[in-house]
Amino acid sequence: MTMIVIGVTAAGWLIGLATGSLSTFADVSQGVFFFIFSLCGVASSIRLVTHDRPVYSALYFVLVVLSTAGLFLLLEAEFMAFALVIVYAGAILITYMFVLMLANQAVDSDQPHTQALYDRIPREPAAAVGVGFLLLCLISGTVIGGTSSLPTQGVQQSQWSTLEHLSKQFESSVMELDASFAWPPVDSPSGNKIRHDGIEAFIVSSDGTTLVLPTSLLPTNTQQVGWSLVNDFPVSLELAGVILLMAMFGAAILARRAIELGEQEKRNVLLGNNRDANPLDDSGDQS
Amino acid sequence: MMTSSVLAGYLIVSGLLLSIGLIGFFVRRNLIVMFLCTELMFQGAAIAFVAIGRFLFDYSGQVMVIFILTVAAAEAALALALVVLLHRQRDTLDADVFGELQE
Amino acid sequence: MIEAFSILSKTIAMPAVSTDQVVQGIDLSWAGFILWMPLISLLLCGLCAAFKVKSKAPAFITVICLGTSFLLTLLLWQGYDEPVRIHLFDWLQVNLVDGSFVANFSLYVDSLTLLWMLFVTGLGTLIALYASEYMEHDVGKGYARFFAGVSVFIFAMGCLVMADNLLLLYLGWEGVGFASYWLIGYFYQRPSAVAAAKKAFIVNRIGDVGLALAIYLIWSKFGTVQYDEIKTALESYQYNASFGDWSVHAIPYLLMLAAFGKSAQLPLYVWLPDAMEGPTPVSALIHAATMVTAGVYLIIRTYPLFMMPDSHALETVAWVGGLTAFLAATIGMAQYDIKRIMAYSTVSQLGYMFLGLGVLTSYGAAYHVFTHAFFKAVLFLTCGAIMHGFAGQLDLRRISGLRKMKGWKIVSYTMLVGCLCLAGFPLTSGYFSKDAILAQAFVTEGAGFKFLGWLAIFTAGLTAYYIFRVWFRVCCGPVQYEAGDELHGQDSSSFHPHAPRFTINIVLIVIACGAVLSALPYFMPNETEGIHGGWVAEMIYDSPAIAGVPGASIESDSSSQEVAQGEILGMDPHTAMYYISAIVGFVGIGFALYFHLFFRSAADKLRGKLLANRATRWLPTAMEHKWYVDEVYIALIRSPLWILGKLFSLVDRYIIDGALVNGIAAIPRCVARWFSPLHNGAVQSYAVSMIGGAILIALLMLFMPEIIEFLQAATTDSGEQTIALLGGGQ
Repeated sequence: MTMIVIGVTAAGWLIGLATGSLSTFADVSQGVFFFIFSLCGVASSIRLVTHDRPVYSALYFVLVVLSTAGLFLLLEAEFMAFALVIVYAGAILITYMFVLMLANQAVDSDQPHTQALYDRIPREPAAAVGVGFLLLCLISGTVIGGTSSLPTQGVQQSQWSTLEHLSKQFESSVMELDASFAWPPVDSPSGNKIRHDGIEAFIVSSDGTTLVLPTSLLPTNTQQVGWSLVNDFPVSLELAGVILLMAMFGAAILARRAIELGEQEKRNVLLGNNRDANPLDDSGDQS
Repeated sequence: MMTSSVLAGYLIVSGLLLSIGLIGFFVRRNLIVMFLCTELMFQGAAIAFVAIGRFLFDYSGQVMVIFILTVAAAEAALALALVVLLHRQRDTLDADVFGELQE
Repeated sequence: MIEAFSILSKTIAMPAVSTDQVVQGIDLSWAGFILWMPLISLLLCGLCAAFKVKSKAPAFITVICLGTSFLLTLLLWQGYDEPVRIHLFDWLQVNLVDGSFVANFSLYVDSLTLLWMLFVTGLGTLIALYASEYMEHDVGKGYARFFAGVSVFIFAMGCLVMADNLLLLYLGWEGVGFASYWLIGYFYQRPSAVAAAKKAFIVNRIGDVGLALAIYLIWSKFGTVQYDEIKTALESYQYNASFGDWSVHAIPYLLMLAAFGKSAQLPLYVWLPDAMEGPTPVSALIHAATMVTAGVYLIIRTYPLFMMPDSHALETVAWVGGLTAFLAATIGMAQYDIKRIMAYSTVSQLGYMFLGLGVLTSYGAAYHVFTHAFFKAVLFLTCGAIMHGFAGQLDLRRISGLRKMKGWKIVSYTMLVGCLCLAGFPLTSGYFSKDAILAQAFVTEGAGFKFLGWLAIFTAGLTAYYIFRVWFRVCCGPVQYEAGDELHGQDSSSFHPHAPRFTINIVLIVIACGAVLSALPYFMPNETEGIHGGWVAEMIYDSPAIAGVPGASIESDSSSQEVAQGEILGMDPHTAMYYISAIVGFVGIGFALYFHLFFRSAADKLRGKLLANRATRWLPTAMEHKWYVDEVYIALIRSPLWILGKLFSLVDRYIIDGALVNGIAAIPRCVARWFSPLHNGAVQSYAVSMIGGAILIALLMLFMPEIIEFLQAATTDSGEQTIALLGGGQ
């Protein structure tokens, strides 16, 4: 119960803060969607933490993931949003469900007293809430003081840099826009083809004509992420693959039942004599 | 075009998710729900990465989230395998039962 | 015999020499062997002990080595011309800014040294021979240890007597104390022996403090510790105006303290009777003849220091000596253990010697040392023979009629010789030596010396009484005996006393002859004019104690004490003393005869009467209990120290061990117990602490600038600034 109270208080504070800053959103609808998604996410997470049935916790987690995906959409990261949904809600949560069922964690609703004690009674909530509060202080302190000091100049340039690398697409889209443009454009003093004056992007051709590039020419989020991934982090990409492979092996090995073989059977297995004894019999005791 | 106060908002949300996940990790005694709370913390981190990445128009943030996803998946698989083993040992998912580290 | 002595004395040239003309020894370095022979004997006896030799070899080694020392001493005496210094090797030479401390291992041989060394080595050899038979029960067990101890003793005594500086004397002083501890505690499995050894050492130590301080003061005042240089320095001092410097006057008192400790005078005599726990040869050698005379020797050696103007040192010595003599005689009268009686007799006779020194007859004191060595040795050795033969029986009530027993005649008659000498029977050596002291007591001017003289005469009577008590009880009368405590295995009804054999008898005879013959030096003519007193006087004349030689004229024109000629009862003191001491001696012997030979029961009846009468009851009990001196010491000194020791052991156990050591050791345990609930094995609680801590640190870092400002504002004591900061902060 205290969980809910504290959670609601926190959420209320957030609402107060947010309402004060609603005006700063460029697009009011963006702001509204932001609040919907974040509220949903926070509320689900609170319910996840306080619900005494683990299956319900898992389901609330799905809701959290969906809210996060929504927030990602607002941040123009649609690839990430759907990747999140696919991987988390589609794979990881299903695994969790499997394990929960395996451990007999689904309880009949008409026999609530069989619910395990350790699910119903929390452990040292006071210390936990204290530490959580401290963490929140830390984060809000950093954020509120620090975000104003992040650089805002010149960052506009960087979103066009990917287009430069996708030369074929660049050329075809420019030609589509204005067929008379003299390809290739002249480099700017800082080495980029696409220049940005803080409001819009443009390219300058060798004979001096300037062509403004509309934002529809920007590569999609998927292209952006893909290019960044392969160009800037190739090693990490490979390593991520290796990690997944290891995880697969590990999980397979860990969850296997151990079989106690007697000396004779071990010898049989080693020498390849599997006449009578089946070494895969579950004859040994559980480890 | 994102203002810094909007960014602050996103970061607050991320922080909230992080804190609630932390509290949940400390409070719950069910092993699987504990891991679920760590996943919640991952969500918070992901939001933070993507928000700042969008603010700075640097896509490394999103790449980082891909890797977070990868590692989270791998970790979840292994963690659940271990939980299954532990469950086989003591037939319970109570974290307090596995107290062999104590003095 | 007398001719031999006179020939010998003629060969000794006796010029009147002042001791600053010391000739360096030309070729006398062989004299060092007088000291090295006992050391060699020590080494060889030590080897015997290590190899567990089961024969009497250690005894013979010791006798041979000590005999060699004696022969060398005789040779030295033969060739004696004038005082020489024989340098053996460099020992301590410290050069300081304004002086130096030089103490070499050199021998200073003058006639005083020779006098002492003759009877030390001579008696040492004879007693070692005696001990070879006496200690035969211990062959293979402690035999070698015993003779090693005797060798150490003779070496140390040699160092003491032949030293040319006070530091080497101190070495010998400590050495004899150590040897005495070794030998008294020979029967180390007996707790009483161990306690006696400790007592001897500790009481001696009190005296040693005096000696150490005196040596230091001498060095600081005179700049040297070598005898000849001290004498020179002192002579030049004597002609100065009287020195009011208290530390110079303290020197003789400190030396006196040392002498009293070593020679068992009041109040430090308590160790000597207990020292009888050691084997009898030890008592004879160390506690009768040699070690206890070291105190007398010290004072004779440093006599000029005692004769400073306005100093009462000699009077103190005389009084202490006289009182000790009287006290010890009264205690000796009431003891039943014959060895104890001998011990108290030693204390008493030592008192006589100090009395002699105090009344300015160093000649008398030295002569008494010489004669006493012989007759006391023979008395102790006969007691030892009795103990040896009667399985440890020493109670004079239980043995009687010894002279009538077969094989005991020699013991009885040599004991008689000793008793006669001790009692001062006319024409014995003791008679002459005591007479010298007693006469001088009436002659020299000093505080109450006449009273001391009469006290000493009375004590002579007591001496005669108690020693003949012993002889009449033990050697005369009907034959009776009982076995003592050391009877192993035999039952007392079939006990036969086992008479001493050849070795013991021959030694007893030789020493008894020596006791008789030691009267002869008195009659030897003196070559140096003016002095009289015989050979011993000649020997002393060459020494620093020249002032105590009768008839010697001292070249000094200060008002120091002169050897005056007084008179007693109108007669020349010596003649008077001949008669008085003879009469007193006969009276004493007469009493002993009455109470202990003819009417033995009368003694017990008298004692009973004294005890019954309330007024006189204290007399026999106090005397039997040694005037409760030991008890007083225990109450005043030992008990407080023991209580202090207990107190400190409590402090050690509870405060130092308990509070400090264990307490400090307990702190980590307590701290660990406070923190151990943190290790509860629950992962989540670990996580809480870990993450909580990390967050706190991060918060600290985040707000660090504000915290610093706040602290600075708080310390600059400005209220406005603090308020402004608090308001304008987060």
